[in-house]
Amino acid sequence: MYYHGTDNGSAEIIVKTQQMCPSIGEHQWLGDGCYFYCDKEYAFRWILIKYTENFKNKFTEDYSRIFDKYAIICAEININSNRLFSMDNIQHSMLFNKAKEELITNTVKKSIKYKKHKVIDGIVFNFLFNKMNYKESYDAVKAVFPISHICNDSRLEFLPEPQICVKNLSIISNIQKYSEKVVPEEYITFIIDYNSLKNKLKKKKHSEKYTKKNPSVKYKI
Amino acid sequence: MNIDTELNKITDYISNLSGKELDKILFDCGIESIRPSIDSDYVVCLKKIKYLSEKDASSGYRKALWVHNNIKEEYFYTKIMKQEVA
Repeated sequence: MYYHGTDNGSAEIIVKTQQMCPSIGEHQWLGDGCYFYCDKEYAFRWILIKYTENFKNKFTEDYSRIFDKYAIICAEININSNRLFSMDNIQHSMLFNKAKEELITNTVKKSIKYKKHKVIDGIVFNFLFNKMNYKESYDAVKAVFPISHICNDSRLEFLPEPQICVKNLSIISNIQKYSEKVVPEEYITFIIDYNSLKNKLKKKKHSEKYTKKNPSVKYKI
Repeated sequence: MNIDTELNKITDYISNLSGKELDKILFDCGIESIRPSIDSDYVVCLKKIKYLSEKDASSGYRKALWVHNNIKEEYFYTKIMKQEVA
């Protein structure tokens, strides 16, 4: 199962109609499509962030109030591994990065309106799927986003956030409402642990950046 | 997948585009925040969507419909309305 956070109104309609609506716009990290988390905890984190953003000053740690406004839905995604464009796949990753480089170079050289625009990842995926017809060969894109990645003495100091962006909506099925009235303790524990580790990684990253500029200064974390 | 073959296709495709054609493609791929042409019925449905959101205040879509981040709700309502009409 894969998980998606949304407001209650949308969740009811989605479950009733069994239809997802694609997210569209340049800020979609993997291009246009329906986004799912592989882990339900991230879907919960997403609705927690939205609740905090949209209901400022009303946010408390009473998670049941969050479910008055937002919901987590889950769905089956019937994906054949041969039809998954995965950024874990070295060939896919290299192709994506080279295509991005090509688009950026040509945009700077030839574009009339967008010379100074950033050609971000979502645009590259849209180009591959909509213009180079990758949607004929692939139904979804999968990537793991490294949160608070530090590249120093360890390559493992980051929080992995795997997401899948479905391009072919027909592979989504059995959409159900997943969020529960009573929040399981694991969500609360996850959020606390996640935020704690993310803050530690951020501090360490900041400290190491500063130390590189000022090698004589040492910080305690 | 042969990366070189795929990359050559991409390079050939892009290199044959004029600046104007490249701009059209970048626009279609979302380089600007708002792309009004996502659906042929998009403009027609906008007024209906606005009406629906004003009618159904609890949906939370009141003000944001005309904003980029809610294009998905607009597209969604377009599908729902087509179903209702059908």
